[in-house]
Amino acid sequence: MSGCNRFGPELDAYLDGELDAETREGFEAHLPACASCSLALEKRASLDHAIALLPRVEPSPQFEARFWARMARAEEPAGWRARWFALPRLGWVAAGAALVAGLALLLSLRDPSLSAQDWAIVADAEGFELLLEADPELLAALDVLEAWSGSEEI
Amino acid sequence: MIDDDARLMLRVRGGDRRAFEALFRRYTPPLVNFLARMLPERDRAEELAQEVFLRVYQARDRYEPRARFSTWLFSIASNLALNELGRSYRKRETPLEESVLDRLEDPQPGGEEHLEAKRAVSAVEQALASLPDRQRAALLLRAERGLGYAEIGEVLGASPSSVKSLIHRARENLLKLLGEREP
Ligand SMILES: [Zn+2]
Repeated sequence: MSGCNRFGPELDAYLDGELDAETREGFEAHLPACASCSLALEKRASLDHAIALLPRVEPSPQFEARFWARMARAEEPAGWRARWFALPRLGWVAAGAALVAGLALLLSLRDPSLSAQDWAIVADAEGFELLLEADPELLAALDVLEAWSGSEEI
Repeated sequence: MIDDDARLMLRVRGGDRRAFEALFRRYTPPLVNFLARMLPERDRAEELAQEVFLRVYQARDRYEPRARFSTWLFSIASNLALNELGRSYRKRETPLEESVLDRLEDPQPGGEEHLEAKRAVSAVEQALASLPDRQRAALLLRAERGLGYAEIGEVLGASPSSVKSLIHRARENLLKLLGEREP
């Protein structure tokens, strides 16, 4: 500041109660004689007061409901998908028929409860490396699904 | 020393869902407010606030009450906000013409004074928004949350002396932006 540059950041530290005892005593001795520091201190105090007076930004009414929905998704990391991949390898062939039937049902219902992420992972070829030896019908069904999910806005 | 929040968080670690709900309710307002002041978009601020609580919950098994719970919570929030801001380009500073600090006191509902007070509030909000991100974070943690320099340092990953400097520059910049130039 003009007029006095003995104290810079110390002004703030004084206001915030963060000065060590020695510096604080030095500053307090200087303050009554220095109009510049007194004014700077006063302005900082009123600035903080102004910030404290700002109306708080309130969470929107849906905030809580949205959060618990997100929690529910996060807590069950992939839902049906996790159980799916947890099936033992040999189970895949048997699961194939069920899958085809399930996909047909899904395609007909276009279940809106499945999130975009679910579909993206279903359509993700890497996720299905396990299936290299699997039932060709199953793979065909997945192709159908992939083509379908690519063509939809999901 | 373990504060009340840390005690709740230890219960969360032990699997107590109600303790988590209590922390969530207690900290939603200050967290949303802080992130809304840090980020330009309100919706994004709310998403990040949710992200903070989600991370707290996911990290519950590893929780140790080393620092105050709120320090930990605001560290996660600051990190997320500063990362987010680092990715988007910086807003331009728009200095405000006139001094507004005097007009902030005691807004009267209705009439000219009320309008003036509203303008003053909006000027302070704008000036805050145009501060460099870390300065804004440090000053908000000081002026709104009442944290000390050491704690702000923990939140922002900075030494107490860097915090002192951040806060000094934040106030200098704000006073300039608000037209309260040094005599
Ligand atoms: Zn002086």
